Amino acid sequence: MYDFFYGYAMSICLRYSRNREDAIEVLHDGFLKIFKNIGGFRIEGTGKQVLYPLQAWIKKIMIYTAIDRYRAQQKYSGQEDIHLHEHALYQAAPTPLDSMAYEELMGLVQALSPGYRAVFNLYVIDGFTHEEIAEKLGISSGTSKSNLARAREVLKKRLKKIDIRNPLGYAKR
Amino acid sequence: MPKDDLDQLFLDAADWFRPVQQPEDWTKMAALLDRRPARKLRPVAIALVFLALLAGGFLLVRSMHPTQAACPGCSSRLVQDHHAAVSRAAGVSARGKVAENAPLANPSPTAKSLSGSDRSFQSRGRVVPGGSPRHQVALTSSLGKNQPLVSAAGANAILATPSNPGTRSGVGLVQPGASPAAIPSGPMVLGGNAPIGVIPFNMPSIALEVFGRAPVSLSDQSPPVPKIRRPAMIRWQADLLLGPDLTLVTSSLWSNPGMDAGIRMSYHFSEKWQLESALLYSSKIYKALPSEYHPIQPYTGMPDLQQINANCRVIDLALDVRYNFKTTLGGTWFAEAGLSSYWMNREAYTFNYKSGGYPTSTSLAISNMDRHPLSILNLSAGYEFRLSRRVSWQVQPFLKLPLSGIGYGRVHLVSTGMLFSINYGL
Repeated sequence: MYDFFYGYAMSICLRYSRNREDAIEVLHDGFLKIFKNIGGFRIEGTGKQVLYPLQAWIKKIMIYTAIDRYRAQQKYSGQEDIHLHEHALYQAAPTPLDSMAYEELMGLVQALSPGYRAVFNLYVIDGFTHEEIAEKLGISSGTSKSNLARAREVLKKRLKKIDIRNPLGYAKR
Repeated sequence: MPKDDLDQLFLDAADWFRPVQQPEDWTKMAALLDRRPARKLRPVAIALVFLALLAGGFLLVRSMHPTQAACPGCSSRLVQDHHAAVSRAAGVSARGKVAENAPLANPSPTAKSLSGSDRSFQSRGRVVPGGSPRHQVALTSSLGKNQPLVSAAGANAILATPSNPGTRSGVGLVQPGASPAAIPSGPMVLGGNAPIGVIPFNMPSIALEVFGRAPVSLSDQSPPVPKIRRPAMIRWQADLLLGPDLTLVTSSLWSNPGMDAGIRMSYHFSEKWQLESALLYSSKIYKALPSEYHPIQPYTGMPDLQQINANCRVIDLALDVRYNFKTTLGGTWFAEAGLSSYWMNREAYTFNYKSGGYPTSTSLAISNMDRHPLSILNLSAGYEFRLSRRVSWQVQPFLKLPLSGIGYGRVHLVSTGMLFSINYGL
C-alpha cells in the first residue's frame, strides 16, 4: 500500500512542504494515521470503486497532516525565515522554462512562504473555499484571500523571470 | 498571465506530478512502524524512580544513623550477639555463672548475658570508664524481694525495682545528677529468667563492670551527665515529589496515567499545622467527548467529531494547608487541602472525527496559552513515615477538582493519583 500510493501521497506532501525532508515527515505521519485507522475504512466493491474513495481518504489525511505541521511550525517560524526562504528561491531558479518539469513547477510552490504556500495549495489545487481555509489555518478569510493574491503575484514574477530567459514561454511546453 | 491560466498550470502540474520513491523512504517508514510507543515504558520508569527514591532515602538514613539503621530492632530486643561482643570490648565483663539455658533471644558463646535459672548467681555492677557508645547489655535476674536492680546508661541510669515483692517488673529512672543517696546500694542478685533491663552506654567514658557478690556503687563514680534538652521543632521542610497522575474527564474514557514530579516547601506553624507550597510538573493525559469540550475558539472543519485525545504538560503551583491529626512513633497521619494554579505549558490535542464516513484525525498543539490561577481544589491525605528526626518519606493519595474549565477545551479535568515524596527538615 505504501509503495502503491507513495507517488500520489508524496506529491501532496511536497506541495505543502518546504523541502523533501519535511515532505517525507508529513508523508510518514500521514501513513501512520492511515495504518492506524485503516480498520475503520469500509468500502465494498472492486477496482476503482475502492481505489477512488481510498485515494480521496489518503489525500485528505495527507492534507490535514500537512496543515497540522504548518500550524505547529507557525509557532516557531518567524517572518525572517519566510523572507530568507523567498530570497533563496530566486537564487535557485535558473532553470530554462522549456525544460521545466512538473517537479520544477512544484518547486516554485514549495519555495513560497509557508502562509502563501498553504493558501495557494488549499485554494487552487485542493479546492477549498476561503472560509474553509480560514478555519483550517486559524486565520481570517480576508487573510486567506490576501495570501492567495500575493502567492499568485510571486509565482507570476518567478515565471516571468524564467520567461525572459526562455522566450518560448512556459505555455508552449 | 491571467490568474485562471496560472491556477490551471499549477493544477495540472500537481495532478501529473509523481515523485519517485527512494529506497531509504520505506526504511524510515518501517522504523516508525516498528517503534514501540514510549508510554509503555512509563510505568516501569515510574517504578524504577520510586525504588531509587526509596533506596536513596534508606541510604541517607543509614549514613546518618548507622547503628539504628543497621539494626532497627535493637531497641526492642534485649540481647544481640554483636551487642554483647561490643559490650565486652568496651569494658563490660561478667563474672559468675552463665546459665546454659539462658532465655535470651540469640544466645551465643560471645554473649556475656547474665542469666541463671539457679538463684545462686549474684552480681552487682559499677560504672567504670572506658565504655563505647550505644552498648547494651541485658540482664536477667532473680532479684531478692527488696533488692533493687540497677543498670546504667551514660545519660541516665535505669533503676529496676520490684514493684511487687517477689516479682521483678518495676523500673525506675535515676535522673542525671541525682544525689548518691538517691541511688540505692547494696547487693544485687541476678538470676532467673525474667529480663529486666537494658543498659545502653551512650557516653563514651562509661561502661558497666559486673562482679559477683560486690556492692552496687553507681553514684560515686558516675561522671557528670549533660542535661537532656528537647530538640527544637524543625520549621522548614523541603520535599521531592513523584507519582502517577490519572486524569479523567469522562468516567467511561480512561487513559494511561501521566506523571507528577516536583518540589515542595513546607513551614510548620505548630506540631499540627503546616503551610505547603508545591511546584509540580504534571502530564495530564485524558480523553474527552465533544460534548465536554468547549473551546473558546472552536476548532471547526470536523463535522462528525467523535473524541478528543489530549496530552498536556502542566505546571501546577499549589498552596495547601496541612493538618497532622495523629502522630505515632513511626510517623504522622495527615490531611491537607488547598488551591492550585495551572499553567498549561504544552497542550497537544488529537481530534478524531469522521469525514465522509471515514475515520480520520487531526491534531493541534498549543504552547503557553492557557493559565488558570487558583482554579483547582486540592484534597489529599496520607501518612508520613519518619525515618529520622529530619528525614521522612510519605505516601499521599490526592484528588484535584476543577473550579473552572481547564485548557484549550475548557474541560472539567479531575485528577487523582498518589504522590510519593522524600522529605528533609531544614
